[in-house]
Amino acid sequence: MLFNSFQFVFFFIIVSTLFYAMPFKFRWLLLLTASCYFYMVYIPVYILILAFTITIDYFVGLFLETASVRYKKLLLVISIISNIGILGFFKYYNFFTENISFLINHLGYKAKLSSFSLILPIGLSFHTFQALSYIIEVYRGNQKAEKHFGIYALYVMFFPQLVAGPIERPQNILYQFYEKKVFDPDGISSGLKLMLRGFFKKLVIADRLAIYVNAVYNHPASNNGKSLIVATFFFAFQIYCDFSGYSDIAIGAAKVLGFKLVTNFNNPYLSRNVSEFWKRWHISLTTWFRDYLYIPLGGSRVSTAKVYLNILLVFLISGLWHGASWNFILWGGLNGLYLIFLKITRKFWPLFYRITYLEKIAWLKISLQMVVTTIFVCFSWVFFRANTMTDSFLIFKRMTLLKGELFAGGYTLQYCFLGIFILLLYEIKVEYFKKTFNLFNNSNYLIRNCSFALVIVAIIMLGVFDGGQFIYFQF
Amino acid sequence: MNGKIKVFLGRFLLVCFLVIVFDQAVGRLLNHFYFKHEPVNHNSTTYVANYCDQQVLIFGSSRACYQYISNEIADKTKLTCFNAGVPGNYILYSYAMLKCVLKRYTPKVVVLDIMPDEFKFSQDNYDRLSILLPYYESHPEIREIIGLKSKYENLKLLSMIYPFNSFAIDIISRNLHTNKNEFRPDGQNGFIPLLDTINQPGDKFVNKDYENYKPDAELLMAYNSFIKECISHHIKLFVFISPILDTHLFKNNSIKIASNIALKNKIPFLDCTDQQEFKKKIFFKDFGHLNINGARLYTTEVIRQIKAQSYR
Repeated sequence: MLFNSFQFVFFFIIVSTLFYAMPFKFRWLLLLTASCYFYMVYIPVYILILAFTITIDYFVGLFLETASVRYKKLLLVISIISNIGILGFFKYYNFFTENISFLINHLGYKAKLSSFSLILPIGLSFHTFQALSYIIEVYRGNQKAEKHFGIYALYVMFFPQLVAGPIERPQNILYQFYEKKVFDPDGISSGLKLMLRGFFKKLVIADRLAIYVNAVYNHPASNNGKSLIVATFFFAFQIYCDFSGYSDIAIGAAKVLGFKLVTNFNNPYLSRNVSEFWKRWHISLTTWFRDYLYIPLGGSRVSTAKVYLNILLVFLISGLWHGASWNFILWGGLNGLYLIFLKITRKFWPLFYRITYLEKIAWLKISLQMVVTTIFVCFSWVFFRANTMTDSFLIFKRMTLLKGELFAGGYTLQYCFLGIFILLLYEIKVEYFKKTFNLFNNSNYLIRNCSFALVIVAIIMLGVFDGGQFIYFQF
Repeated sequence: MNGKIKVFLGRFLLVCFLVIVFDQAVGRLLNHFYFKHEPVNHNSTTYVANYCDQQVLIFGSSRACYQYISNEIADKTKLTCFNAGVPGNYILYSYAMLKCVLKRYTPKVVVLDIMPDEFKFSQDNYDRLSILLPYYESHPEIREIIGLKSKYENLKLLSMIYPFNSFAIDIISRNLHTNKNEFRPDGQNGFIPLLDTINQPGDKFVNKDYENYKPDAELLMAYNSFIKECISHHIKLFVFISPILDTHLFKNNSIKIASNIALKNKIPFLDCTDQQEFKKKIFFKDFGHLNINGARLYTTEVIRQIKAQSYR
């Protein structure tokens, strides 16, 4: 079910009303049933895949608590293989067979490994990682195994974050299913406000930007450098608003029901370097990779060369997590290289700011850092968005051809800039002028409520209602 | 608990009330300024729906709008003519516009230009019906067609702003007259000439694609209804498929279907997609659109057809 659909609005009103009307002991059942329905709206039969991994992980979790050290490792491997195996089959099988066939043919042998045309189960990468974090935490002894099968299933399937995160840790969410949630008008209002922010980001900004980006990126050979540069800049904000919009709706929906999910984005385009960007972007995934991959690999406690290798490896795997294509791997690798570059040059920058006197003009220094960071991030987004690897390099090549008119797409260009302007204005206010005049948290109830009413009106007036799915659903 | 519910409902109702007030106020403002500008040059849809009175009307997409020189048709047929084609809008839009026109008067001749793949399903065909939303209130005859856009369209249309969704900058621009590029040239009666010539290496373009698709039932129904409306109003209808630059080795499904339906209803049908006299780059702006040179040649052919059929 799409968050940006009437179907979800009706579904959510019904579920929330029933949730508070129902006795506490049946609420988990209601949420689990609702989550199953939410998932089954796409391809109903895929619920069996989820049921399979949930059952395995539930029992592995139980056995992990009592098993000896030797068996613990075996159980962990069983769980990882079953989860990653399913993810690998659905998401990466074709990618690997195509590449192996290519390699074999390149070596002079003739081979064509068969491929499947299966639709990827929605949000498979997300709930796989969420299930893995449960098993790893139980294995490490940081989390007690969940005894209640229904509650464990709900941990994996909780509908607000089922298909695109945030990827939760068991310590943060499991105990909340045992808490009796009381009807809290303030909590519900703040949840609804968060959902509204998400809808604005998705409908007014992301889906509008998508019109321009798709028009240009689907025909890179017919567009000049100006249009390609603008489209790349737009894509940076499209994917941000699309995904953070989804996260806002997810966190808001959970909040309406009384649950607290982790923050997933923190104004990433106000970052002052790429390292900070990754601390503000898709936080639940970044911390997942940090805790379950980077640190076990040795983290920063190993030799410098090994640290760089670890960073690169983590980002390459992160790229592969996003999609089964060399484009995503290159995107991840490029971001890894950015971070390595930052680590290598970390002593140089304070000196540079001193020499250029930028240190004394703080606002200029910060602005320049933000602009440069955004440029580097945008550069890597080209690989992420381009339809093929060939397209990526064609886009870079054509970016230098600045002759010709900028593609406008009717008034799309104006709507896109307007959306980005509103977003940046809001985020700069939140980041740097928190205590100055506040519209949405104003003490005057009329100003406060008028602000929210105007956001709804702006969505109706400027939103794109024929837009598609959230980009991250495909992961 | 009850007290908390009351507090929440109070806040919720206040926001709902404010949304309704803003929606009504802004919606009325947008409605006023949308219809305020002079219609013919600025918005062909408003002109066709509310004002046009020409004896010959041309319906279709960009391939109608850029390729049928209305003034030449008017000169040679001695009938007044308006080109009601709108880029990116196809049979559903044409049918809606015909219904609006028939509410006011009956033209003598109608030319319907269809695409070679007119009946192929595309979500865009339905999404683009948003161009008709501002006319939902004043033209009940097209509500059924607008309803095809999505199953919640009637619910969305409870809002006064929604019909003008994504029109805000357009309305401001039209009323301030800051961007005249979008307006149709004065005195051309809806026709927009394309002045450039295609810049593509090679002379012969062959398309070997074969597409076998099931025609979209709604689009097919609109085409059938368009023909039936014209017949019932005794309008001389012509269905044309204008030229394309590339030669298709396989005939598109839609052409066969459209031709059969026209034949069954004894409607003159002309498919120019294979006509060799047009297969020259100097006549095209791109593969699917004739430039002004091509439009002149093609309009001569259209006039010949209209005259031949009319004097029969």
